[in-house]
Amino acid sequence: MKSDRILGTLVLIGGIALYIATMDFPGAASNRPGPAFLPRILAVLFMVSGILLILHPKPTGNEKEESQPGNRVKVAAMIAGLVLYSMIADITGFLIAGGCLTFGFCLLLGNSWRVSLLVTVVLVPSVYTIFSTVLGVVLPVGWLGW
Amino acid sequence: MAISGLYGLFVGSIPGLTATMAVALMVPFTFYMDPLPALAAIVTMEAMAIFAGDIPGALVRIPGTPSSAAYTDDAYALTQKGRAQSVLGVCLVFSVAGGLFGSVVLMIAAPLLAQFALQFTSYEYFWLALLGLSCAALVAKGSPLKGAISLGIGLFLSTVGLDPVDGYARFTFGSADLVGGVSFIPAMIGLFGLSEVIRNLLRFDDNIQVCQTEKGGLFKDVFHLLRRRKKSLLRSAALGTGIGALPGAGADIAAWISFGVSKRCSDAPEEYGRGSLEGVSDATAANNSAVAGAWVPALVFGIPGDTVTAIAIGVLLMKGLQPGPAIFERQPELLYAVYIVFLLANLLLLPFGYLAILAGRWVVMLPRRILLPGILLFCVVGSFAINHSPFDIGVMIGMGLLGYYLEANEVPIGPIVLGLVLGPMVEHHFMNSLIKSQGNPAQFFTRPVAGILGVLCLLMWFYPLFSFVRRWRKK
Repeated sequence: MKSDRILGTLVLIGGIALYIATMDFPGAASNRPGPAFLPRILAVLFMVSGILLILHPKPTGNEKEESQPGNRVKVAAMIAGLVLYSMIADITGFLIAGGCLTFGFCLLLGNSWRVSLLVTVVLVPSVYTIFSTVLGVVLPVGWLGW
Repeated sequence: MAISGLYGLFVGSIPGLTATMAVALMVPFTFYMDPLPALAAIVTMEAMAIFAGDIPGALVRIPGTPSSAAYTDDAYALTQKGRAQSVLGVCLVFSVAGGLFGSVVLMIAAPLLAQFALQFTSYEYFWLALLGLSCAALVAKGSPLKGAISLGIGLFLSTVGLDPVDGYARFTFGSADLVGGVSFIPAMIGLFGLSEVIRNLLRFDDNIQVCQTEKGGLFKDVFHLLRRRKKSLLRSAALGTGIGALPGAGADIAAWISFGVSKRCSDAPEEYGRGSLEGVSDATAANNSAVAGAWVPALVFGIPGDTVTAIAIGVLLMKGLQPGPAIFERQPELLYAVYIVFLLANLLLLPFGYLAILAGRWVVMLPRRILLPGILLFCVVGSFAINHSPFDIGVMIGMGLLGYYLEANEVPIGPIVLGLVLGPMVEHHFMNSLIKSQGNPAQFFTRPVAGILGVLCLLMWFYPLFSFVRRWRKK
């Protein structure tokens, strides 16, 4: 019930913010509504839905779902790794950036460094070859790519 | 056909690579082919890719192509219950059945259907898209209010970028990456794939496998289901072919609408969204039949039904062939050959798909600490592949976190995808219709097909209210 109230509050705030954001949009023409038409309908939908959720919360089955201790830190580390990948991939190339991401994530999951290295060495060049060479999809070449 | 079929299976099963992209990558090879082998390769590749999208959807909850998104949750839920083989067997056989149905319709009714599809104007398209959106309420599991919030988020995301009529930049915050809107593929990979990686990581226990697979053959549920759901199969395949024949609609919209109709007609609607084999079978039949449907307007009038047929028309033009009514008189042999190719491609799907499922089965047997890094890498590469932009990886991360938070609060994420797909279509056709009618909303009901679709839409919205009043009166 608590999580529904939090979700409802977020949706309500989102709806209000959306409505405010559309106030700078150009106005409607004589024969059609302007660019704010659909976003404003959605803003009202969010506000009404948010209020309904706050007023009538329902107990959710997932509220008692437990995560393993320390696993939230692992999720945060994974997201940080992804952000870092998106920042360095263009410079270092897919093989190095993807290799670091895969190796780090393998270690994060509790694999030994030998297994992590094996998974990285097999997986990353295979994916690069499949996409870049076989399918013709351009991946960042960087320092080691071909 | 065999080589392009294998290529289609391979591409379709890789998240982030769509059937359209696969056909586009294939175009250079068609330069060196005669027209018929070129068309045969495209048709076979597309049929295989649409089915192959079901495989990663069912096994790791990342739909391989957008056409599989409608029933990914159900297929994955069945895999988690240890029924990966059953669900993939059903996907394969119902895809083949849907594809064959679409092929037969293409052979028999191509000119008639194309004539019907060509009568659609922006009014009809608006109602059709709205009907598709209304299906979100039918498709969504759990609370309809949360389903509406999810749909609203998808529609909001679809408004990011240039507005369809005036070209005004909405919610771009000065970013050039957002001018083109939120990319659909990275959003879908984040919502389904990354959110699942996060969920697995939070509950991570390295001693258990992703799931167990059941004993028994791939087809053990198929024949029973085929016998029991003959009418549903026909309905879904007919819906898929009809929707596929509408220019601009496609296999993904066909799957969503068919899934929604299937739930409405089912005796066990509560199972939809939680692992319904019926829902999966109906939607997968619809998306494969839509593939053939999309070729109806393409062959008869030279108007592409979807992006793949648009590329195929380009290939035909490159070969000096002009698709359209004249092709029936000038080159009937080409048309008949295309019909046969469709039948063969769908029959070929059976052995090829079987082998693909066998090859993919090992995925569910891998320990999670080996499997999750692979999924994460495919999420990254798949998000990057469409636009070659690191920004799309950011979209995937954002959507993954959003998807995880929403699902933890029992908000279904399927309607977000539907909102993203149909949002631009609804807004574009609504605005165009209003401009054409000089702002008169009554015009939305004056054309026969638009009127029928509009009434259907309104009935769908007000039916729950009517049934509530009826129950209240009985009490």
